[in-house]
Amino acid sequence: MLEKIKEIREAMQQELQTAESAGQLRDLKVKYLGKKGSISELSKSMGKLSPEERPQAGQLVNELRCLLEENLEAKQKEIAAKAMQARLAAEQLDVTLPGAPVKMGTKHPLTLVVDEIKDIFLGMGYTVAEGPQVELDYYNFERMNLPADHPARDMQDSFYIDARRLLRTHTSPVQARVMDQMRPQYPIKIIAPGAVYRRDDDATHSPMFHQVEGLVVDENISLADLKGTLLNFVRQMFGEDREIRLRPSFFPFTEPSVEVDISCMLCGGEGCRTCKNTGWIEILGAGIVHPNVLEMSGYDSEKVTGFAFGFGVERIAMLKYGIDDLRVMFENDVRFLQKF
Amino acid sequence: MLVSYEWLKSYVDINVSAEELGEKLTLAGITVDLVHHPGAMLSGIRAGRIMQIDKHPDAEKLVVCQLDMGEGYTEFLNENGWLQIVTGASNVRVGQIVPVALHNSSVVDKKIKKSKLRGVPSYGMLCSKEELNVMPALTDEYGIWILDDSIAPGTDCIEALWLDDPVLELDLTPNRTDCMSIINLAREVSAVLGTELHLPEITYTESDRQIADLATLEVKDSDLCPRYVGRMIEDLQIAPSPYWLQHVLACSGVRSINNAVDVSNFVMLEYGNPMHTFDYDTLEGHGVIVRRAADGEKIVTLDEQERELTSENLLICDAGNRGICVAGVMGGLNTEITNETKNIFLEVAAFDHVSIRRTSRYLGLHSEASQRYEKGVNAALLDEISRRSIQLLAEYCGGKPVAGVLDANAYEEKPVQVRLRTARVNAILGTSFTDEDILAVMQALKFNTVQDDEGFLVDIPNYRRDITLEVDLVEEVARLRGFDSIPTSLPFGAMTEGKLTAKQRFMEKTKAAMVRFGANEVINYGFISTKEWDKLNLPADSSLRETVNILNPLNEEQSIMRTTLLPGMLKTAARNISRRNQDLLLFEQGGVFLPQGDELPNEVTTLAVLGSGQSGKGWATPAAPYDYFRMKGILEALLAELKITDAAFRPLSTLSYMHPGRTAALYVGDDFAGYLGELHPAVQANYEMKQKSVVMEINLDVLFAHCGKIAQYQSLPKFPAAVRDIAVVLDKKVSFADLQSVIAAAGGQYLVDIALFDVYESEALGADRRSLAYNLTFQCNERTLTVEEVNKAFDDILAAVQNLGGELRS
Repeated sequence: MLEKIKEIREAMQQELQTAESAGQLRDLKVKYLGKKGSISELSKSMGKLSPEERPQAGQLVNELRCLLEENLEAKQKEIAAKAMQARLAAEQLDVTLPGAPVKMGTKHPLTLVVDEIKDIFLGMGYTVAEGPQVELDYYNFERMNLPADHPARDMQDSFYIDARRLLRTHTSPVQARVMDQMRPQYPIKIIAPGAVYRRDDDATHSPMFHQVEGLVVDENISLADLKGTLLNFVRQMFGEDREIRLRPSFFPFTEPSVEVDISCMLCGGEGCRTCKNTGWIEILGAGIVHPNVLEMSGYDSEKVTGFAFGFGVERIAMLKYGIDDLRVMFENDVRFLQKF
Repeated sequence: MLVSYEWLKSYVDINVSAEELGEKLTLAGITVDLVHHPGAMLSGIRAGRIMQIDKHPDAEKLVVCQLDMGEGYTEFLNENGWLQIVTGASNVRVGQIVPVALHNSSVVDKKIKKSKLRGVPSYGMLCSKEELNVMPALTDEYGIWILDDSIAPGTDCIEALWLDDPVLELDLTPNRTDCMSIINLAREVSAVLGTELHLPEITYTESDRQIADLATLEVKDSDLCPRYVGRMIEDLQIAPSPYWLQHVLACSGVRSINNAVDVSNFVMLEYGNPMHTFDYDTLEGHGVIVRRAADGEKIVTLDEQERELTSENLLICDAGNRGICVAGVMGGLNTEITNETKNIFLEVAAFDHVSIRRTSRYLGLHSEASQRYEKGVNAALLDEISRRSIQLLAEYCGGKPVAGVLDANAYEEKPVQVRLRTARVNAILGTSFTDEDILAVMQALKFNTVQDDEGFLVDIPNYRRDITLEVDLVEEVARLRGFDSIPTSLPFGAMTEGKLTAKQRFMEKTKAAMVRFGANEVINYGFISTKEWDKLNLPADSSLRETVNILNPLNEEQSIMRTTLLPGMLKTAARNISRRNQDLLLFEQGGVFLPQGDELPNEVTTLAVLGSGQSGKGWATPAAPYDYFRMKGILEALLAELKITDAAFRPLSTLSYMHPGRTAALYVGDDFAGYLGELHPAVQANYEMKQKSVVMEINLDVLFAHCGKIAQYQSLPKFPAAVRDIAVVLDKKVSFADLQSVIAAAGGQYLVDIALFDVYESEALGADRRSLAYNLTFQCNERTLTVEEVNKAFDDILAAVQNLGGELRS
């Protein structure tokens, strides 16, 4: 009997070793553990043994059974792993081949800039105001403290529709329209983005371009508030280490008026081509709302003050994205549009 | 405006370099764009006297000059102590003083070395003005620059001739045109630097001849000429101006003519007021009349052009009533100063700036004088200016000033006094300046100031007419104290809410959706060409042709405000296609301008989308063309995104620019909201597009009026759905939309979804029939539907389809 067990054990180990497929393992299992399998046969023949022999033989048969089951399981795993490996090897791709194209939509860079400006000022408690592009001379000029024959009207050669109407030359008339709506309430805190038109068409001027106007009217509004607001804006728009510089300027609808420069973001103020070696880049015009503008809008200029600012969206887009030619903005070449 | 730095220094002490001055003035509001250094590239230029000129032995056009270079110079001299230089210039003569560029010197764009010219040694170069960068644009002199005899040989020309004088280029704001006067600019410099001012002292001796005996003056239209001052000077010699005067004018970009004209230009630059000089002897009746021109009256101006005037133009006439000058714009040829002029009648006048501007525009004539008059001149100063001019004419033209003045003065000077409160300054600027700080600024400006309980009363001098209000003085304080001195803070007041309106959010959502669908946003001009209408084959009575028109367009291409976004979109697409960007999905969201009579036009926010070519094509993926149904899918997705639930598409065959069989109108509720379809092949050809395009144009204002609120979540169905397929064959004339509504109506309350999954046509079905196949989904939220209920609904649908002439596909 013991001899027999040993024989079976050796044959079994031999067969286990050479088994290569899940099918062979199944056959092995039947051969040894099936109803008529060798191990089952051994168990059956236990009865023929003497009571003294039985425990030892029984233990050996059990060991044999356990050994087979363990080996079968291990072998099964090994074969499954091999099969998986073979499958994976067969499924290998050249992962460096390009992916299937996904068409991405893009906003126009001018829209991106306006969106960013809106976000910044919404965060500061501003609302967004709008005004018509075909505007009354009254709002575009008179209400902005530019009466007929004011010499500063030359600054803005305008497209006229007739004596009363024109294409707005700036977004400033929105100031007057908003004040007309709000009067006598304050505070007013708005920005007004939009297209404007001037009779200029060359490498650095487009007859249509975009501005964002800003207006704040409240008690105790000062130039220091304007400075702080613009510094806040500039740092969000162009980076935390930007500085601003105010230079006196002239706009009929603000007094004092300033041009605002920011420290050059390309050279950090060292001087480069973009800033014409000055370290500063002119970015917007601003000032304290002229008392005439407040009075014409029905506000008491002794009681409330305000500041206003306006900047060119194209200019900011060009600075921010390093666009060196204004005209590409309106050519709408998809290779350009796709870059934003 | 251009100003010589050295010249400016003669009116005010300047203790800083030209660059520093430019920086300081800029920060004080007088913008200095640039400091030019015309002499920056020059070195080693000395004066020499031509002692001998010989013909070049081997070159006909060259001469060999021997020059005395003065005491200090020793290099390359010959046995006579002369420097030999070969030149090709023809204007050199023995005895002349000329500028010599020595060996190793530099002139404009070149280095000078000793060399041999056709075998003859030459130890430098004789220079022209151009080579020394002297008035490059203003000189018509050719050849070597012949210098004044007073310049000794050996003199350093760069220093002596101010060749290295920096020139400041100013960009004045419209409120500070007072600084077009160098005297006012000097006042500004004095205020900024805190240095001494040196204004011209005007003294001269008059002859015993009285102007009242020699000339008459009558101003008939004093509304256009509030003041006219006339003076005379006799017996002068017209000659070239002294070098310093030429230099000052050149730096200012003014061409030197002769001493008399140069003096009047010089005084114009000093005071800002133009003036005019007449040859007294050519004035008929020796008098001047100022009046409006008669309609059609003609005058030949200095530029030898005959000009026809209208009664809107002011004309200066002589006592013979003959036009002699278009007031403030340009003088007449008949009374021009010539080399023979002996006696001058000087006009220093103030004209109405609006009138001058109109006249100058009407004649298309923009002179230095008219540009200054348009900005307004200071009538209070006219007499001083006339005396300054006579002083300099006497000094540089050797004339004898006639005694007295003709002064037709209807101008009344109104003293301007402005209150300035320290508290107000600090409130506006956010500063904490003291009374002393404010006073110091007023003193730097030399404004007379009286202090009382309320603050300061400031007398505004007549040359600063830009100051009329307290805020104007606040600005003076800010700019002279420097904007650096202003702190930064943020508005401190009632909280305001930063938010967008519902409509603004809707418009942003539309853009964002289009970007998600893969479209690229374009921005086109708001104006277009009238030619677009014909390219769109628009009928003559199309409402799109009713436009807001620009009175003064730059060109025809930009002459009318668009009533549709389509032309801009098509041009953009055509441009892209011609650049081989053939796969396009573009959108524009912008206004169209619909006229409303005399009112402002209705600006309707419109969305245009164009698809052309295909997308998605890769090495492993098939291309998906931008065809009608692809674009319709985009529109449907947009409508879903915007929560528009009552949209319907109906065939539209009446748009001249759209394919009549492949275009749909979009209705939302009962409102027409736009169109979608394939561009008409003829229009495609008109825009020179080589490929089909599908376009849509949607009125977003209409969509906004119909857009839904926030979608309410409904819990997912708990009971299973029953899905049945149905394929029906019927006449092609029955549209999908019609069939769908019949099925929906017949299907009963449990029919929750009708999904088309196939459209099939074949010869077997018949030429005008097609098969449409649907998945029909039946579902009830309360229970599971029974087979009988579903069968019943299905049979009802089938019956309805059969009513339409359809049958089940076998």
